[in-house]
Amino acid sequence: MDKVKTPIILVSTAKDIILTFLVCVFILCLVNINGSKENQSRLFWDFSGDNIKTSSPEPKQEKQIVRKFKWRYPKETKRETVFRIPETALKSEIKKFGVPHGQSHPFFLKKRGFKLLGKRTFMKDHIPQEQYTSIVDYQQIFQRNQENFKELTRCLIASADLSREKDPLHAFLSFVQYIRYKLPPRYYKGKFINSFFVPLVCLYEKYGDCDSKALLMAEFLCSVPGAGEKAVIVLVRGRGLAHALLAVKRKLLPGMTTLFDIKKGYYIILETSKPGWAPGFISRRVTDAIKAGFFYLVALN
Amino acid sequence: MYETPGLELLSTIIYVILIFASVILSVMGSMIILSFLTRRKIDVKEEIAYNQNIGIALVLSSFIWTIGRMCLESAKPIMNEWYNTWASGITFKSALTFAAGILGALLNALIIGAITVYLALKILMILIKDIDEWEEIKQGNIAVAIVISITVVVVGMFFESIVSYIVINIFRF
Repeated sequence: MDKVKTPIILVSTAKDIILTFLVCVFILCLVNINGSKENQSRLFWDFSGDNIKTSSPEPKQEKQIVRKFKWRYPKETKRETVFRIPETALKSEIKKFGVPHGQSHPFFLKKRGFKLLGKRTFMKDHIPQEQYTSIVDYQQIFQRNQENFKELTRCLIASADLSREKDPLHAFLSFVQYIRYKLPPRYYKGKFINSFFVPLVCLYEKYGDCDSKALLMAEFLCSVPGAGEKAVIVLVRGRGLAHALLAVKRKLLPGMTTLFDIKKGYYIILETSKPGWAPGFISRRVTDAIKAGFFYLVALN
Repeated sequence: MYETPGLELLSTIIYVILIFASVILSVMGSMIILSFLTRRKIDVKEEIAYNQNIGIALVLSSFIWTIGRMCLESAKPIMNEWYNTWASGITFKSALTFAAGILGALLNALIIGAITVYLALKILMILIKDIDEWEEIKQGNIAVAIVISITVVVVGMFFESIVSYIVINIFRF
């Protein structure tokens, strides 16, 4: 049996060698017919082991999530903006903000985008217990997102047809105002977010509440190249109101509602919740609450 | 910082015009409303200038205060609309619409002011049936004048908050 097998193996090996030879000849012929000298060298470079780095396949393109927004600016002109949100940035933002249920240790809260305001001690079943009061750390989230928003802002500027000299404030405000106003859930993707969407998630979900939209507005404004904007979040608490506004450093014009900082100057207030409010104009109720001093400022930059 | 050439000057001019218009409207409107309410029995100018009637002066002041507050409440929504119009780019049509809006807003303030004053007086007259208030005031009864003035001012304070909402809707319309 062995005597019979050997010639068969030899024949098949010879076949393989001939076939491989023919394939090589065919490839060489193809190169000679179609390719110039450069192409030849490139082909050889591609196959040579020394130049693997130069000819390695391009890195995989980052997956992007597309979100379309319809809005109006100015007044009657309909616009459509398409944002491409990088998936990795979005996932990282979702991961970085919010605490799992039951986790309320100050260290954990601080790490996950919350700012501690104080501590409350109370009795439960005759046992003293402590509870930490916290708010969203707007500054941390704002600064972390600046890089993500450069491309998105460029996209918004292009869709609003803004020139370099024109103040983008009104257009950006109009865009943010047209985003649907809806209170985010207290828990998002299994984590406690205190009804606040970080700016990228706000764009991803296509809705947000007052503070989510105010921070989104701040991200857009401060990402304009060379703008050097100064922004603060105004948290209004009192007179039955719990609201958030954005204030930016601008020249005071007649009729506008402003806040004055003795070191930084005038800040005009922006209402991001619903369309129709020009920069510096807010509802009477909110004005009354601010006049009465029921507000708290959070500097963003 | 971005430059907005012309906006500051134009906005200031419009704001000053608005304030002047509010003052004129509130004074003129108050005098007309007062003579209408007294069925022209009282000559307001004569009572104040020649008879030095403090009662009439008090009632007139309360009317001016109430209608003036209504007009000033309209100023903010008007300016809000002005900045929105400016951002859209000013055309002849938009300027005309804006001017019509201003007129509408100020007239709205005057009408609501008049309704407020009328309502306040009607409530008071229903509560105190036995007294002819205007006759008392004409005779120099300051006590009645004070009660009427304060009623008008307080009712005006309740009503002034709705003026700005109406003005916003006037411009949206």
